[in-house]
Amino acid sequence: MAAEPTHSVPVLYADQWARLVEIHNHAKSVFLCAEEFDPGFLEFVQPVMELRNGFEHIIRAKAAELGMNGEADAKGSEYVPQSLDKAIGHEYRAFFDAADWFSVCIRDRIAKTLDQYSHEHIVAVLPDYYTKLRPQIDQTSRDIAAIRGSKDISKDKDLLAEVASYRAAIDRLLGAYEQIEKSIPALVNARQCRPVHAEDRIKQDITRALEPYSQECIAAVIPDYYPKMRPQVDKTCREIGELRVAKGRDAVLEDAQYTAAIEGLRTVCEQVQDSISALVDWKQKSRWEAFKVWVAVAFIGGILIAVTSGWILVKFGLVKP
Amino acid sequence: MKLKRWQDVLTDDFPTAKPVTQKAVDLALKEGRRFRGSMRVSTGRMWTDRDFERFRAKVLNTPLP
Repeated sequence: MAAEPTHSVPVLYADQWARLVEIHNHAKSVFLCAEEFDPGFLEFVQPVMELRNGFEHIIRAKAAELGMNGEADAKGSEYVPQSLDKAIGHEYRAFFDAADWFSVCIRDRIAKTLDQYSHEHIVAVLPDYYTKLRPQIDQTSRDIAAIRGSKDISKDKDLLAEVASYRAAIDRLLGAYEQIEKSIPALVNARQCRPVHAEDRIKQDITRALEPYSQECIAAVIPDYYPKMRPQVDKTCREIGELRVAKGRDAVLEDAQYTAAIEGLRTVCEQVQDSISALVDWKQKSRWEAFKVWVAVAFIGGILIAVTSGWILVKFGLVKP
Repeated sequence: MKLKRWQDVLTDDFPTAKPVTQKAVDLALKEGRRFRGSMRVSTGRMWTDRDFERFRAKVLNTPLP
């Protein structure tokens, strides 16, 4: 039910007007906020179109009340409440379009904000992020999708309750975003103070060792590198990160799984280091091959140019054979 | 064609809104100086239907970190 109107002047169809006012202002509130949260500061015109159509029904209802609408006389006393119901329907759609826009924008912001930080930093600064906040954000997104999916307007439906439910879901998303936003300075600080872990050092060693060589060279000398070793290194680093988050920075050093993972990374690093001389040989050989091809092409090209030039000179009589 | 009396258009609907396309955005930008509504619309800063649906799908399909 809509809030009790506090007016002193009797109003016809007061309950419908109150619902209309409430839903309209929910829609406006969400729309104003969504404009600010849009990543490109773009306007979404769909809710405005719904408001325009809603306004049309309000004018028709008012015209009927004032005796200015001929169609209303033909349709009887139900015309005004029906028109107001239609106006409420458009306001309802405007609210949902704006709310959907807003929820997508805010989720985008949350994802972009947290994307810059590792799992470990997020846990250090927002200890309940993985246990409460993220499940709550995901659940809210699912709720919003479900409510949006059932956006039909039947006469018996309590539109205000549904709008309130969607509004509450959006408030939860906004609350989660504010909590994350307040943590940004601490997240930045945590990132700057981050110690270099063993797996990072090993990964850096592998990257530096392979940096001077082309992908073709690496694939030729270490055939397993791209299909197996590199994905394995990335996966192991991720697993170690998750293990550190689960067990704690110090306790993980005693963990057998951690030790085995680091050993695996070291083995990969050693394999790469052992292949360096082969990589150097391949690179030199490749340069020599390329040089030979270049000389052959230049030689054949020179001959072709000479033959063509000679033929042209003879053909046009510039030189006698 | 003559203008209708206001009494005759009271129950007529506005034309159905067409989808917002890039062409519509370009036109809004081109004719922006004549427009006295939203500043964003008059400077062509609005979502096309297709772009918004793509953005929406992308955001909702991207798992949170």
